[in-house]
Amino acid sequence: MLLIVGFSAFSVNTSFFEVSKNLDIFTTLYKELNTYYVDELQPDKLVQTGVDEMCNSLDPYTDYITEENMADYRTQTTGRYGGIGAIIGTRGDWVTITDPYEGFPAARAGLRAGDRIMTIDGKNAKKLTSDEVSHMLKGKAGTNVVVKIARMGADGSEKESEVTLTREEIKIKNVPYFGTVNRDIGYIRLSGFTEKASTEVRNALNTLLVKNKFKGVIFDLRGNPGGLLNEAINVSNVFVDKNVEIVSTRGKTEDQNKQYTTLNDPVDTKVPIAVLVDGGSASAAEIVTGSLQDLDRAVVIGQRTYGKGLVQSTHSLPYNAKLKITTAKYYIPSGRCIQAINYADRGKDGSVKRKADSLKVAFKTKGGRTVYDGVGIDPDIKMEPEKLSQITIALLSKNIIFDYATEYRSRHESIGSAKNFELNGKDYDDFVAYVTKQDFSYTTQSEKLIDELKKTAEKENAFAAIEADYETMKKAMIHDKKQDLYKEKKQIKSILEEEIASRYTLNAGRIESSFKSDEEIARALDILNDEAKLKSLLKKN
Amino acid sequence: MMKKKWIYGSLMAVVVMVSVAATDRYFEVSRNIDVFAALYKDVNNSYVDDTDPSKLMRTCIDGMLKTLDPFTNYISEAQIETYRIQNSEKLVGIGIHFQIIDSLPVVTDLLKDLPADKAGMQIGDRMISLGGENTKGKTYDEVSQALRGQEGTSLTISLRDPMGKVREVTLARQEFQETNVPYSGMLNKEIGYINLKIFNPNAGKDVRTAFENLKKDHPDMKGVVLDLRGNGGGLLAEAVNIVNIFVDKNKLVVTTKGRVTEWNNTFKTLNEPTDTKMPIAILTDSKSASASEIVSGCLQDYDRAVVIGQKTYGKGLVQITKNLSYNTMLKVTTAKYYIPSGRCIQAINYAEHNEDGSVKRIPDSLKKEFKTAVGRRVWDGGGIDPDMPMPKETQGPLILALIYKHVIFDYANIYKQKHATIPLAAEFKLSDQDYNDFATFAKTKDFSYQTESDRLLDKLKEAATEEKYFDAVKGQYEDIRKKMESDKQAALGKNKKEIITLLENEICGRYYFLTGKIEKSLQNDPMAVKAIDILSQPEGRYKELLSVHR
Repeated sequence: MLLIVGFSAFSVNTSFFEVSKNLDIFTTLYKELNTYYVDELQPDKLVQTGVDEMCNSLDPYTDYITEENMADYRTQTTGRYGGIGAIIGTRGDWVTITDPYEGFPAARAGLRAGDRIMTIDGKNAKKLTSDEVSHMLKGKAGTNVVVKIARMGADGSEKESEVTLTREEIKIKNVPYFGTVNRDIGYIRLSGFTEKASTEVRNALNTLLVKNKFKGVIFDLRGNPGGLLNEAINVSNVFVDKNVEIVSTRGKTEDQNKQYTTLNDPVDTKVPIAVLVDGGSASAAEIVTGSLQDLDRAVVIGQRTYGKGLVQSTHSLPYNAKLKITTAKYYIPSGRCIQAINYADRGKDGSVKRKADSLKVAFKTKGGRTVYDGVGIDPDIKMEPEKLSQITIALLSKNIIFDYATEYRSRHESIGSAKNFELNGKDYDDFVAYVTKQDFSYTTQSEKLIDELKKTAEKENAFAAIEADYETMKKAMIHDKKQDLYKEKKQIKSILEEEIASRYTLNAGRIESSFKSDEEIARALDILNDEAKLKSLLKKN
Repeated sequence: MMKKKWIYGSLMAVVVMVSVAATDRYFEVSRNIDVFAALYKDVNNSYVDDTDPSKLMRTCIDGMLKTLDPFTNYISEAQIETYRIQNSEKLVGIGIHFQIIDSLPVVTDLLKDLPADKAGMQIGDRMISLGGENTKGKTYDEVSQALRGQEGTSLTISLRDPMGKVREVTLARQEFQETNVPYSGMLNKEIGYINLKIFNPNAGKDVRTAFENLKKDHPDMKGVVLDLRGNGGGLLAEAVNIVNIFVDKNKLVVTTKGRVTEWNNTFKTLNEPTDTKMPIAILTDSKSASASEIVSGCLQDYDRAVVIGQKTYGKGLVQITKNLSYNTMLKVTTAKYYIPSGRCIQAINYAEHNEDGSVKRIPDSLKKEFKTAVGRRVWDGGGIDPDMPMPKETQGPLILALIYKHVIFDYANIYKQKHATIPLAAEFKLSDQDYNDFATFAKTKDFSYQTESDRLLDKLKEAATEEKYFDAVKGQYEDIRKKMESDKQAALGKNKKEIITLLENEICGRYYFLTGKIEKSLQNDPMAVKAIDILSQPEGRYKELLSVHR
């Protein structure tokens, strides 16, 4: 016993000596460099670069934040600013509203996606960047900003109008939508974990359960990057009893070792839950998913989650700088840590490795199902992620779907319920005709590569021999825009419908419209409607 | 009060501003040290896993220095020994170059008359144990460490020759330095040739001796080629001495200028020249750097030589080494150098980076024009531009595969085993029978290689499958694949001439060392041919290239 204590004291001392020795080297080197280097140096930038590199060698979450970067950092972590509550983007010479948030000044004043911002407080906004416009729209909550917008009318002509908006602190909702997919199945989407996340989920489930008698609820965590640890525990608590351990953290020092248990009464511990996840579900989202899986409380559907099992704390440094540093790993109820990349174990070139499937360790859920550590959360039902085709990507990135939706909105006063809204064959033909008129082009990967092949083969003097075959091959690979629009109709049509629906009922419309084409939701409906299947999925195997 | 003082303002301002700037800088430096110290301690104390403080520091410092230039380096205590050895011109060892091939160290070059050569070691020998220790799996650095040692100490090496026979040699380590001038001789009756490989101590003397001997032995000599291809530089003083062979005493060769004016320095020729008249051609390529660029640039600026070949590397930065605490060192760029026309030949401006973080070559539009002694136009910011540019020789995928997979190397080793002697390098010729023999040998070696076209075809297949085109073009795809494959089969025949040249050079190296290899390669060297052509017309092409054209 004495030996161990003595030994550890020794190792602390060596490391202390190592640290101060290296600091001494750094100090002399840094001074010499600033004195002798051939060009004038920027001392701040130099240290920032070195420290960034050092932090990166640990993991991507350990960060040095200088005083200058503090303001950005604060809005990033708290999500609060005084604004009009709309996402904007550049379309040609003008900045355009692309997504007004429900319940905030822009939406309340009737601004729509597609409205072009012409002037702000009388200043011409032509050719301003979206950063510049964003800066002008933001300000102290309670102050006014006068915006002149231009909107396309039903007759195709453009009309200008002026609105006065009172800036508000914009607290982005963690639950952007909840409702029913059909009579039997409820739906809650959670897209972040800031301060009110668990309260919002709690209210959503309460509201839904008061009005409906559900067979199950879909809890959508796809794309949710996580946030506050405490909120994760409280969100799990909505579905599981009081006094259940959800997560524990362990670090190098004793004070990092903590257990977190549920503190409140749940809303419902019985109604079947299907959690939807994808590769973008990370951190707090994985704690919720993983704890519900470990407690056999939910069926998880989708793709393997991101795999972030590291906890950070923010420490203060001199001169108002900060260090965000990974201080612990977290472990969910079965005892597994879901961190997928071991940053301490790197290849010779410094590259990181995902934990090999063969090295993962098995754990048991409360009911005895086998689950594994080190790879994020593996869904109980694995689904392939949807892949966008080249033409879909082009239609999105060139804003053709956006512009068509704007035009559609100007021609149709209403579309009825977003859930039932569907473009018929004639509507889609109309869209195809619209696309054909646009000056828009895209190149498929095959086309790019076949051109490259010719160039390279010519360089390697190998082209003459293959020319005939090459030309035939190339002809067969040249894409046809119209043909592709029909080849990928299913995908394009559903995205278009979602965009159009969002023009009438904003984000809610977009989500409701996706219900009928979303294959993961379809799968969740199947399972939640099939009591036997659900049981077997949650049973020991 | 303020108003009264203001009249002094404009006069005082300069002084005050300078001192404020200096204080600001000083404050900035010490503030950063404070923040860093707190951060570094916290990282080591609080990070979730155990940290390695030295490794973290190394990463931090390397990260910082990387943004400056590749020549500004931190040398840790652990590296200092290796650094000293690498940077001293004197080496102690057995006189070989080696490479790790298939996890064994293989002798790839022998230096004549040094211990390894004298003990009968051969290129191609695999060193299977060193001092009784097995070498399998050892890294290059580990083997290199084992070969070095005190002068006079002995080392026993087990060797396996290319035919598989194992033998043992014991040899004593010896001090030596890389030869500055591995070869000098005549390209034809009138044109001499001097190959300068490195700027080690005595490089100036060695070139001067080689030149004087050529003049003495060949009174009809009309011109000399100084070959600086692949010469990465070395000692600045030796560059000055070499220029001095061809230009008068007291001429400016190079000026170094840094941020602190007091440290600026000027280097002039100190001795009487050997010959300021005889036509000189300098051969350069993109690996001719630093001291090589001072010699070629300076002789270009004085219109004393015609530069032939490719644009040089463009290194115009000077470094010094500073000792830091705990037996560590900083090698830091402190100055740029300028050749007589006033230009700096540094090609990359490390102070600015492209948006993607990559380094920025100085664009042509920002290059400044300078004049040589007679008024020819030259430019700064991009190495030395040859007066007579020649394209870089490129090697096709087959040749590259033969080189990288050591097929040519292995064949030369076996050839040496089978032939006790060969004719002089200048007369040695590989017969058709030998070439067929080689082709048979090459086919037994599994040197399958992938051309860039092969790789693209693979990628194309993948993309076409994904994008649902592949079924429609499957037939063509397979045809193309087959044709490209048979193309590769035919390549050994098609590239015969080029391969024979490479084989002959390599084989001459086995018998006559680097000297023989260089001598042989000059026979098939377009740049040497061009140099002969120009030097043979001292009043024609040579003069024309060194005159001002409008």
